[in-house]
Amino acid sequence: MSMTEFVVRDAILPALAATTREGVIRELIGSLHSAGHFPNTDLEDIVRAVLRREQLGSTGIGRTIAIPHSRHASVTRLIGTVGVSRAGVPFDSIDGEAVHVLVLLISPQDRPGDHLRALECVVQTMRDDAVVGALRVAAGLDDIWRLIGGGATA
Amino acid sequence: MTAKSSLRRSVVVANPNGLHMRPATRFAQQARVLPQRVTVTHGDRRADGKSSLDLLMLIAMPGAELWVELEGDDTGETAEAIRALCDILAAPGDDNDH
Repeated sequence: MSMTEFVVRDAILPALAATTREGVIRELIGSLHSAGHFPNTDLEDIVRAVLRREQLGSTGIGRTIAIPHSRHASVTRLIGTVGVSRAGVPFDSIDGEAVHVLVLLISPQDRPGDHLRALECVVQTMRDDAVVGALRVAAGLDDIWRLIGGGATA
Repeated sequence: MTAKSSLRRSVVVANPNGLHMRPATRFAQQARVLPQRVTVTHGDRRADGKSSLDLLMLIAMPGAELWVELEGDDTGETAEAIRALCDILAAPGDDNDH
């Protein structure tokens, strides 16, 4: 499985503007909304659901990566997006490091298998330090798409 | 002198969302304080029980049977430790747990 199977290409943000945990989460979900993946009426509810999940424990998994996520009834298949923060965002991560690479996932209510497989795919992709390093300095959307699709990091 | 021991126990994942990030994190946090090596297997997939990310790679769905193994010096509390770890995997969680 490749991350390109569930990441919405048009929603990728190579240069996040926000500098807080809530801010980048809002920015990423707003980008998925702009790409047409759920109605405006659900936007705030999805933001609240993802922030609620963060309150239960940070999704900052260390090595400058975070995977904020939630289930929500407004999506019929698992979707995600990727954002990169050059400055880094305080995220209360497991290793205390600021987060530079974010992968946000929203899954349907009743598809736990899809969620587990997507998490595994993200973790597998991000195991390679070279991929994480290249994402952090990616020039734009095309570079990020190639990297998460398993393309060369050189 | 402390005896070496290896103890295995099977457990069925009860969380309706499977072994996702939160139970994996709880398991790894608890495993990390143990002196023994902790391994979790799901079919032919093996994970270091002290790494939450390794545990996520197991893709353990609700109802999956996992084996938890503790290897190393027998502290006299190994049986209790493995039981406590299995309890995390057997916990049903709640609807907001994801």
